[in-house]
Amino acid sequence: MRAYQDMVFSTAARLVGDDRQAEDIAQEVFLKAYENFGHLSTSSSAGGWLKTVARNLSLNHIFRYRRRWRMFTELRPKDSDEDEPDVEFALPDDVLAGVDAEVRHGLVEEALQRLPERQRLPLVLYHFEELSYEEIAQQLDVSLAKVKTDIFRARAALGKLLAERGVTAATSLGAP
Amino acid sequence: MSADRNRQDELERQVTRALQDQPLRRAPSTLERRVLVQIQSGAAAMSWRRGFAHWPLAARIGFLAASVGVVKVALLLSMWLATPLDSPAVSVQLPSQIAWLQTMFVAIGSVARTVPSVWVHAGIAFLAIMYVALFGIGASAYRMVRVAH
Repeated sequence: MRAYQDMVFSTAARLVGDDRQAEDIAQEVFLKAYENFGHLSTSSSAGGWLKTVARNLSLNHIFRYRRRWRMFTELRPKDSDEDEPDVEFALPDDVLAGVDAEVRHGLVEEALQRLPERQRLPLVLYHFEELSYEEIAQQLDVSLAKVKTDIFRARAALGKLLAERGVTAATSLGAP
Repeated sequence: MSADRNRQDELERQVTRALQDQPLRRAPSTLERRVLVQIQSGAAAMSWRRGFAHWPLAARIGFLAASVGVVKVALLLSMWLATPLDSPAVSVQLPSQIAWLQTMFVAIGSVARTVPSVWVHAGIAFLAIMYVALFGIGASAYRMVRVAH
């Protein structure tokens, strides 16, 4: 379990964007692994199995919550784009260059958690889970065009957050 | 159009670079203990609270034998209740609160005796087919919903 707990927790935390919920999901993943211990203990793909289960449980958790919430709040069609302005993005190449690696990693995680769910999910599935656009559209039950738009907006928002926070961090660390 | 494409490519390149060297998040120190506690409490839970397939063999055999016994007793009781009131087999006067049960079983017994047995068998077969069909439809619907999500 120790070998995989960081991977399972990271997968859940980046998808659901909440550490407490991610810990609950990670616990569920390892309990499922315990139930399947006979099969997993001899399998060379135990890590892949755990990652897939962590991803599926995280998505199930999000969809359960979203369905419950949508009943009360959301009357828009699920594919409708939000009326967001076009993104203006410019992340200087060296914006985080003067920042300590550990701080930089923390800033990235923080920025990821601050993204709205509709942007964070496809971005994490694409960059961390290495799913294709088509697979993401299938997993999230949305159109391919929406996946592309959301990922583009997520990148822009993430870059903007990193630029803001990076400058702050660099300044606070006394970097030039 | 081309400038827009370039901008998107540049954005993807920068974000990919920012994310690709991102290490795994450290799991909370409480996670391992939570999992172990859950496993221990699950193992300590009474076996009947788990699925039938996880019961000890002796318990499964005993449960099946008890189930057959209960069914047999229920059938005997039904037959006894359905026996006409003037039959010498009935020598016990049932309390008034449950006398309606006897009346109901007598009525059912009377109807059952007048219905040809082939109808009864056909009815049972029909119910079995409907049950299997309902189970199949339920399973298919469940799979469709699961695939959709």
